[in-house]
Amino acid sequence: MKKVFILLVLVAGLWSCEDSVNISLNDAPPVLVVDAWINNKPEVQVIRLSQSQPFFESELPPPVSGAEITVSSSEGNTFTFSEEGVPGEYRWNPITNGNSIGAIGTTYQLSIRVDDESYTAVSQINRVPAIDSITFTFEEERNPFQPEGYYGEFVSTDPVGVGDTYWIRTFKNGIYQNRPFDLTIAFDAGFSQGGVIDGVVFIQPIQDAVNPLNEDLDEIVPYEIGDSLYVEIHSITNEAFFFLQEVQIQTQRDGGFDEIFAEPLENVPTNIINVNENSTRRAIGYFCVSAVESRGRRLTE
Amino acid sequence: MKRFFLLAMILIPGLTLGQSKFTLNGYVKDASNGEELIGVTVYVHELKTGTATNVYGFYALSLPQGSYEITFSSVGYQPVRKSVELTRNMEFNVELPVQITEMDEIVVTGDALDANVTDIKMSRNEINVKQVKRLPALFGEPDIIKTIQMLPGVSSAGEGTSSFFVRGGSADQNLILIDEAPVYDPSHLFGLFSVFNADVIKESELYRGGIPSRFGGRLSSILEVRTKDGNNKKLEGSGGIGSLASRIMLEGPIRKEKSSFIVSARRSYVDLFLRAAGEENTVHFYDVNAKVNWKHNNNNRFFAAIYLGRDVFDFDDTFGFDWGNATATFRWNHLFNDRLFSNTSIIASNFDYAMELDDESQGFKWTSNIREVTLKEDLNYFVSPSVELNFGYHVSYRSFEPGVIEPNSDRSLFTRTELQNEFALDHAFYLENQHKISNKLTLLYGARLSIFQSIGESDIYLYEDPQDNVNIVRTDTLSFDNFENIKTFVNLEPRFSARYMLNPASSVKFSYNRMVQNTHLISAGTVPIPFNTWAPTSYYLEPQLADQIAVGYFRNFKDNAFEFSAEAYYKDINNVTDFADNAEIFFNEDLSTEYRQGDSWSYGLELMLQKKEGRFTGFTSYTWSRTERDIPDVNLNEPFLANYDRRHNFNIVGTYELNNKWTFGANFTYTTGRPFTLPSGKYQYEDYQVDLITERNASKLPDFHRLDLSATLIPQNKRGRKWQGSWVFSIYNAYSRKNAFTIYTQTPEDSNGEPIRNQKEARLIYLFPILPSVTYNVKF
Repeated sequence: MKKVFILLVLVAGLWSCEDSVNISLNDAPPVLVVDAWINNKPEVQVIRLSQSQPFFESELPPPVSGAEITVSSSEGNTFTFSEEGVPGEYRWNPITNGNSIGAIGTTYQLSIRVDDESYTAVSQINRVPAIDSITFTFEEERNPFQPEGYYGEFVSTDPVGVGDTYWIRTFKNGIYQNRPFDLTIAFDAGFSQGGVIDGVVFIQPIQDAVNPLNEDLDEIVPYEIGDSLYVEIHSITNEAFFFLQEVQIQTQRDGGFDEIFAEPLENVPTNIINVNENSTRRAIGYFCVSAVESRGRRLTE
Repeated sequence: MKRFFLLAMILIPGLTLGQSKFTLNGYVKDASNGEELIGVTVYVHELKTGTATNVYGFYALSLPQGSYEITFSSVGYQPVRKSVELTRNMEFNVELPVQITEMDEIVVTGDALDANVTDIKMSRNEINVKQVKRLPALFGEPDIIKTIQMLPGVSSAGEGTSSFFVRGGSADQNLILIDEAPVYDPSHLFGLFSVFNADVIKESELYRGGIPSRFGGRLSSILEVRTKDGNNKKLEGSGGIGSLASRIMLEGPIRKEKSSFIVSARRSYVDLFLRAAGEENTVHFYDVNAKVNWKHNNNNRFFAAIYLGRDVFDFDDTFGFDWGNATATFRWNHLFNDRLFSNTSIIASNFDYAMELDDESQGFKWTSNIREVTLKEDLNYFVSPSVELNFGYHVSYRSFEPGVIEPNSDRSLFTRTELQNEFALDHAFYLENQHKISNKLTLLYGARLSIFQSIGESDIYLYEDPQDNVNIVRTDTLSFDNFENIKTFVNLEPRFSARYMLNPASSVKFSYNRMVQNTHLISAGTVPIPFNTWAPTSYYLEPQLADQIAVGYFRNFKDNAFEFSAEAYYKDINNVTDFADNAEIFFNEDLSTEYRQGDSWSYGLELMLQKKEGRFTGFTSYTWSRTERDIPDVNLNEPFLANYDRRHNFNIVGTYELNNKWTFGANFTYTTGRPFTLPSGKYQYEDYQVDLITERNASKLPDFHRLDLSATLIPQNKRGRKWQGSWVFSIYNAYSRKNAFTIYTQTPEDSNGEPIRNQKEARLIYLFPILPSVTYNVKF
């Protein structure tokens, strides 16, 4: 669908114009933001707490300190995340603590106690396929969007059974590609739920998603000799997939004619719940526990 | 049917079948081209009473034996006075000569002079096509929808769209009919133009209240467009070349006075230039209207009409999409006897779209359509000059194919995926009586009984929680065979109107109507797009119901030269169809989990002053209104303003004939900005900045205003030349205001094109700066 609308933008670029404007907004009162995306990699896991901000404020988001955070598993383990050094960053080290995020299928509960309110969220760790290989192929210039050069791709097969969801992260030369258009998520081996592409190798556009765009987002930057590519597949829950899908819709807005037919803005969902149902304080953000598979390769002669 | 007659007998007071009464009936036509005239006043001087011709130009009067002086009159025509000796039932056809004025004045055809005041209809406007053609137009393409958007009680989403919103109703609540066939998407080029080619339109009218019982199926308005029948006296043609499209039309008799045809076509031609310039991305649209009619005898007339229209977008021959409507109408007008007029119609309508990507691995074709076949039997029974009965039966079969995705190459990774088709049968019975109680008071009362059946073949999924659109858990499936009834919805729609004459120049009117809508547009955007689908009322979707009351004061000034109306309305809608937050409305097999039906209400005051005769003609309208929605689970269950809520809406439309050569036209519109949603905060998640939204439609776009100007030049004709040309020069958005279509927010970029983290900016999108255009028209 996205592609369709991008093409629509092309048509209508003919007659739509835009200007920067100043608008005043009624600022919403700040709410607690929970960024709790942890995984089974043997490295320090971080949960970040911050506050939402007035829309046009250009400061860094204010951190929320002094919270008590624990994650407990259905296997009976409890991990305590503690604030060390950086305000608002709560860490837990699986190596020094001698335990780790457990087996596929385990459920986890996040508990946060801050400012006399208690919040909770639940997630499950789902299966993830291994990455069989990473390859580079030299391509002639195909169109202005795909210039001549080496293109990377990863090969991995979605396990049979509808409903596996993934977040695919790309690191080029060790740098995590985290711009809005780099956000790649998969529902089984396809982009979205409707496609029902299950139990096969990830479709080509997902394999190709490891080739980042240039700054203007109008051309792929091919790999050069000596560049490295490292790919991670994180299993995510279906709810987390829909959450990221909304983040994608919201952050990948590229303006222009697209906006004319855009659906009204709506809140990105959250799975963070205030334990006290009667409280007016609420939290947003997401808690998800992922299993991770990864593979890297350097492009050589 | 027999039942109906019985019911009619009871309903009609003063129904007399006196032996001494005879019926006078016939058709009233335009003397120049034989087109039947609608709404012509037929006035009997001796009895100080009369009637008007119906939509087929037919009238009937039941009078005691005697001699009468009868005047037939209509705006734009010379009144014709005839003496009639009524000693038996008589057929009396009349032709009205076009009013010859010094100048080629624009006049509204087919309306009684004082209809604004005397007619029982309220909340209704005719759109004068002749005038629309002389008004300034976007890219020089005259469009009735653009004029409709300026009527009182009507608003638009901005500019460059063909959707309109009537009295707090959404765009899908308008029933748009061309020769009685519904048009599901009236847009070309995503709404820049409507599908209505101005050349071929005979009459168009918009009902936004007091809706007659013969109409049903949509909540908020009826836009009825009737095309010309074709000149049955001589062969005529016309054509036009505009900045974007060109048109040609031919009409004439097949057998003189007996049968005639009209064919008209319009096509945009920008793509031809683009192709010539080597551009691979092309866009075009076309329309074809054709109609034949023949008069077998005065008791039997037949009409057949078709409309075909399509938009085609093609990008580099690899990606493309298209959409279009096709409608066909066959109509038989039959006189059972002198007083019973019947109209039988068979109507078919199809709307479809397709999207195709040519690619070895990702190639697919996506198609979707909605089809309907309708049989209508409408009867007018002229009981006496003061009592007219309308009744009938309509039945429609509809099929909804929301989507099929097919691979279009062997290696495509797509597998054929088909969304569940849905089917429906829709019956309606109606009965309506127009009763002239006295010279001052006329009543119109009746009802429509809507019986809607959702039928198979279909599978209905049962869910653990039918409203949970995230964790969708199907628990069971109910399977239904072809035509097997899934669920039946019965609704009675009472309709009532009253008109009371205060004095010969002013009246007050009241109307109440209930409307039922069983077809629901699946759209979450502000403006519907052709890729939206429709769904019938079904297992998970209740019928939408609207109740509306309106009161109005109507007054004509200066011998009917000026018409004034003031109306106030209140409308309450139950089960208005909306969607959950973040609903996935495209290609969703569990779409029913996204449905959220709630309440909507609207009220407003509408003023209109219109001048239909003279050198200067036009209208000005002002509307004050407020429209809210309350949808479960949306906006934290709090009511919110609808995106088509407009507090103030002011319009002026006018043309002025300076002399035989020059006519000038202008449109001016001012409306309060459209409510829309902006974030009220933001937060950081992972590395992404996410918007925080607290209230739906809490912000307002800047006010919208725009002035358009036009000049029409008719050069002096050389003697003996068989054709007449004319030029229309238009300036759209004369003072080049940047009217916001929408405002969106994004992360700004620095001078190197790098996004500036933690910063946001708002950007305003506007569509058209000042746009001049020229159109050349020719008549032969």
